[in-house]
Amino acid sequence: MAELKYLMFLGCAIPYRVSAYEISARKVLQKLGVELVEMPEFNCCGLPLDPVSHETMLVLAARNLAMAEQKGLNIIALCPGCAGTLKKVSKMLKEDRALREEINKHLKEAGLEFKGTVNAKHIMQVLTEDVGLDKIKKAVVKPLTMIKVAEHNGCHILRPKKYIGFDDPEDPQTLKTLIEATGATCLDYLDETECCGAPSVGVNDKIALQLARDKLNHIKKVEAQALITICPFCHIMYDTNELRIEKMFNEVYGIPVLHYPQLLGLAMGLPPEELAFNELRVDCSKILGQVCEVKAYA
Amino acid sequence: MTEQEQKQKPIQASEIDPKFKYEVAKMHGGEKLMHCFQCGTCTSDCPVARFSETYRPRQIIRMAHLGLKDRVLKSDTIWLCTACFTCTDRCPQDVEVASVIRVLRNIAAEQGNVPQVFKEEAASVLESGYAYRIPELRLKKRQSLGLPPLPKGNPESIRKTLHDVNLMKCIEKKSD
Repeated sequence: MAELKYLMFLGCAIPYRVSAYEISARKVLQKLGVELVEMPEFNCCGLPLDPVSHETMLVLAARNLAMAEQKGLNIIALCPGCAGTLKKVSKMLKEDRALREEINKHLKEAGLEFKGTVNAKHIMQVLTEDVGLDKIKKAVVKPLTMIKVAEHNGCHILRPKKYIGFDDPEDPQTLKTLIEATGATCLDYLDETECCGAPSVGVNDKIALQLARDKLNHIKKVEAQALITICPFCHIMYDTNELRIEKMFNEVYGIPVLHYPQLLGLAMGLPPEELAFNELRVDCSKILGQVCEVKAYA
Repeated sequence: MTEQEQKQKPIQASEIDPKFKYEVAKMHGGEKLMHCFQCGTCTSDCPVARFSETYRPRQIIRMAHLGLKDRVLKSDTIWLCTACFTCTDRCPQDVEVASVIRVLRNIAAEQGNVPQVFKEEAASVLESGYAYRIPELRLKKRQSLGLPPLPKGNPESIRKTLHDVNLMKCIEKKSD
C-alpha cells in the first residue's frame, strides 16, 4: 500500500471562515494514519481568478503543483474547488505541450518548473482510494445507524468530467458510500447534483440564495436530519446562510449542515468538542444528542 | 437601461463584428464555439437560468456567433455563471459552454469590465497569495485551536510568476 503522506492544501475559504472543516478533517485523517505535511509557500489554487484571467489561474495552479513536485509528495485538498483546479490544470499541462511551455516560462521567473510528477487529490478521493473503505469501516466504533442524512457534493470535484475523471457527475456515489460507512442512512432527494449557488455570491446574491433554498426545500422534503457537505463554499451556502435564506424567503429549515469529517469523527468515537461542532451556525444539538446517547462499543 | 430592455433593442448591422467568433475560438477553452447548433441543452440544464430572467447560456453563445461583441461583453449576465460545468458535461456537441463563457469574461475583463469582487480577490492574491484577506483575529484563533500556522505564501515569488500576465498588471495599477 502506498504511503499515506500528503502535502496539505488548505486554499483560501477554509482558513478564512470554515475552520470546523479543517479541524475535523485533521483529527479524522490523523486517526486513520494519514500524515499531513504543511507547505508554507502554497498560494491560492487559482480558481477564484479564472473568470477574469484564465492565464493567472493556470500560473497559480501550476506554481502549487511545481512546489509539490519539489517536495515529491502528492497534494490533499479539502476544498473541491482547489482539488478540481489542481487536477484539471495538471491534466491540461501534461497533455498540451505548448501550454506547458508557456506556463513554465512564467514559473521560471521564480525558479520553478511544472513536470507533472505529482497528483492532487480531494479528501474524499484519499479516503476511498488510498485509505480504503475497509479501514474506515474498521475505525467506526459507534455506527450512526440512528440518523438519516442527505449529501451534497461540490461541483468541482465532479465536473467537467473529462478533466476531473472522478466518480459519475450525473449519479455520484462516493460521498454516499462514505456516509454509509459511518452507519448513517443517506437519503436520495430531488436535484441532488445541482449547484449550491456559492460562486454567484457577490455577483447576484439573490440568485445564489435561491439556488440554495431550492436544495434545502428538497432536503427538507425527505426529512433528512442533517446535510453532509465536503466543500467549504457549499457549507457556507447552507450553514452560514441558512438563517438568511429562511428570513429572505420566509421558510423554516433548521437543518444542521455537517462537514463529512465531523460525521465520520462521531462514528469513530471522537467527542463532538474535538470536531468543532461549536463552529457551526445551525443548531445541531438535536442530532448530537441522538448520537451521543449511544455508547461506543470499543 | 435594464438588461431586459437592452436585450429587446433591435440588432443593428453596425453592431456586428464577424471576426469576434474567431477571436473567442482562438482562446483556451473557446475552441469549440462554432460546434454549437443551438439545441438549448445548456440553458435547460442550467441551475442559474432557472432563477434568472436574463441568464441564458444558449443565447450568450449565439451572441458570440453573431459577433454582438459589445452587447455580450458589456452584459452583466456573463458574470452570473457559477461554473458548475453542468452545461459543459451535457453539451451534445462538446462545446465546453462554461469555458466559452469564461473566455468571454476574460475578454470583458481585459477591456476593464470586471465586477468589484474579482478586483478585490486579484489584489489580495498579489498581496498575500490568497484570494481572501484572512483577518489577524482568525490567525490568532488558529493558534488557540491548536492548528498549525497558515502557509505564509510568497507574494514576491507570486508577483514574479505573474508579472507577464496582462490582467494582473492592469489590476495592480488600478488598485494603487
